Amino acid sequence: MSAFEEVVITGVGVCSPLGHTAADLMQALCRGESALRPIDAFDVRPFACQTGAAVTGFKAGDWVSNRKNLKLMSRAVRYGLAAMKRAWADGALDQATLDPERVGMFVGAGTAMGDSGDLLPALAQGFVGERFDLSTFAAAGVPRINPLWLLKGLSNNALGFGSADLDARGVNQNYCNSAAGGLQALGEAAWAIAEGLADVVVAGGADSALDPAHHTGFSRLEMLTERTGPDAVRPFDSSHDGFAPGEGAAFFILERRAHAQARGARILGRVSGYGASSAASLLPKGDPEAIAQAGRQALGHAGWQPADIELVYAHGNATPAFDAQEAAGLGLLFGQHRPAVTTNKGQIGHAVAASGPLSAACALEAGRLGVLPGVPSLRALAPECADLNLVAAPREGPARRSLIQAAGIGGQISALTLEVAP
Amino acid sequence: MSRPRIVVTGMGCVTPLGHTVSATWDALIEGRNAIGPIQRFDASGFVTTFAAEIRDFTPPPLEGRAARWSDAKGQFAVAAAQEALADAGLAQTGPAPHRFGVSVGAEVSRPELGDMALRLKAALALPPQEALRGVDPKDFVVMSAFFPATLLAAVFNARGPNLTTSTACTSSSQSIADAVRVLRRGDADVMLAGGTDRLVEELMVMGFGLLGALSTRNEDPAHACRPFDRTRDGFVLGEGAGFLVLETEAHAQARGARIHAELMGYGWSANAWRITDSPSDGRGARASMTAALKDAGLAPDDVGYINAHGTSTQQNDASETAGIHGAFGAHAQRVPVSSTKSMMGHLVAACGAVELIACVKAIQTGVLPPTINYEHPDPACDLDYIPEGARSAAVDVALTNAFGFGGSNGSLVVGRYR
Repeated sequence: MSAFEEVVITGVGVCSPLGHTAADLMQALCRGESALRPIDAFDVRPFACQTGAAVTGFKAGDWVSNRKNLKLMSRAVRYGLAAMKRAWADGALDQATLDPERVGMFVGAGTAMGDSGDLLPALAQGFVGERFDLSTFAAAGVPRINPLWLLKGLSNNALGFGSADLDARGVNQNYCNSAAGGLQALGEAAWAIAEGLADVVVAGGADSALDPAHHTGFSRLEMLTERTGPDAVRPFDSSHDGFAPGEGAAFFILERRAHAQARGARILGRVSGYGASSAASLLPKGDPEAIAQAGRQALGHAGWQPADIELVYAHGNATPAFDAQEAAGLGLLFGQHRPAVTTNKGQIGHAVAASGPLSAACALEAGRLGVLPGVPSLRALAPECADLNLVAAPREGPARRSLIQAAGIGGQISALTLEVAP
Repeated sequence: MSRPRIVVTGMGCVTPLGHTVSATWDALIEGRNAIGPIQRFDASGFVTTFAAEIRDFTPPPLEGRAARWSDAKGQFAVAAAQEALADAGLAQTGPAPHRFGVSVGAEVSRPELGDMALRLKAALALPPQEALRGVDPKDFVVMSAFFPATLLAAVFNARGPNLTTSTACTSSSQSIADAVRVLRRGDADVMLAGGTDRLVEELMVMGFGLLGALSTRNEDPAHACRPFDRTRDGFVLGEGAGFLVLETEAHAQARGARIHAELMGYGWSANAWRITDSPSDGRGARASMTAALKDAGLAPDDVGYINAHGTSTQQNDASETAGIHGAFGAHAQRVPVSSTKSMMGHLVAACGAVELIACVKAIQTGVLPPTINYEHPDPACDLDYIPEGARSAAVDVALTNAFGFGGSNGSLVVGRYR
């Protein structure tokens, strides 16, 4: 019997550019909506990429118990707290009935760039003519910086604030692994349940690529689309030219099956397998063998064959290089079986560490509805991706067993398999 | 289902006390201090002007892109990992790539402040598009927390699971525990696990100084880090890396590897409190130690040495002491506890790994490293902190703690292999 038999999903919380529940997100995706818009989160004029997908209709204050902490929270952390608490409510969990040391939290977090807000003006105080002088900066610049400056840049703030708000005192982790981190958090959390280390784990990812630091980085790596309009991002299409920055969060309540049953919880499905690998390369390019290896490991733990998979949520970042590698990797993994493949990055952008968990939330909802979500921006598959069974328009179809892929720019690959409850 | 035993077959470290395990260990048992005035930059204007710096470090021989892309913490990581792999007899022929994974505790890199200020000033004088073209494409990758794990995977051809934990001071304790988890479930045969960090940087001295977390004993840096002493006034920034080669017992035996020790268990908990403080009852510390003992299948009395987190802040040392009482009961009064941070400062994302290595050496050599600078007993810290200098003691099992900003706690238990 698979170690994962006892790991069930009892709640999902989503914060995305196309909706604040998994159901709303899936409906918008299947209606063909796109959240891609001109970026207004920062001055985007110097950049070739002008298009992004922002979370809208969101008030951070609604989700933070101590409002004083808001100023320490980045966009990503705020989305994370909202998604955690939505998942908690969706799972109908009640702190009064839980042992806090048996409640865990696993987070996939983004690259925390900190708040340059008051650092940059302070740096200007450090110049003596053309020379930057540290003691001048220390005397004249540092007093202008908020004493809590360092705390806003902590990479584990979603975990720190989230665990305090939900009184989750058990096992916990914070992975900073680019886009691979969110699924790693889910997979490692599932293992924590399987190993008996917790009754309940809140697991997922939160991130935002909508800031100048990420935009500069991804621009210089030539990974961003230069097109505009709602169909700018075209995963696996012959006109693919990169992704648009996105943001958001998705968290799940993973629970020991017996614990869920004892409290009469609704069981949405289960995490059935997880795999991780590395391309062992410094360059942010894909690696078909690494992609296939992570998928095989996940299938192995699930006790499934490739033919058991009905829907693949691909990473699909719409860069020509990675799309081709991912298509090749899925070919190695699935062989003759060609499951339906989809991706949401054309419609909600790339939420980096949150992208895997957002796809997992979509996969769970697709399986529940019996729908195969489409990729509306698809015109013609790129020749290197021609073997993919990519869903163009959404259609009815079984999607109870799914595989979700995520790939980080450091060569990390992660894969997760899900099974929707009958 | 029986679970495989996990063993330590290689160790490597770069610390302010020495650039190898043996140099670091010799310094630790001599009670040597590595803390002094900062030489790397002019710190005279900051509230704290001293730290535990790594000096005279020879970067490891790397070629091509790996050489060009390695910053200091990447170099620390590669050097420590090389030593660990050589120690494990894996330097020439590494493990099968797809069965060889990497788990690293690391945080995002910080730019050097003067360089950043000059570059910003120059960029502001240019048209924005031109300034953008001046940004090195590799910077975004190299500065990210995951980069040391990427670098190690590329340099040592490790294509297995690749994980980066960023939980501040607890990072490498948790990354090592993750490696244990990966090995136990059979997703790899060998894991390179540890952490790397570089804290003696302007932005860190400034940021931790602004928080009031650092010792400000500027007139006497050599005695600034005094864990558990009543007059302790904050922690001291350090830097470095520690890596261990972990593998399943069966894999180590099959290749005839020398086994240093058994990694018996780990425990994790969260304070669920505030991001910079721990509750004074030490409940989070107690929970991670208790979980680690349970995972190892041991009783408190089995532990012969605790390498404390012992940061030398008022709050950590008192709450850790309370946590040890909570987890160990009557045995807390008997078990020797020391903080090696008293000598090498706080290696933050790397401390868990380096302090685990100290525990393995203590078991192997029968010598416990001291807590230096301990002079004034504190009623809130009432354990045996090994203040008199290194102590001979036959120890079969040791436990090491790491607690961090954000509230994550990690404990590791290591034992004599038999």
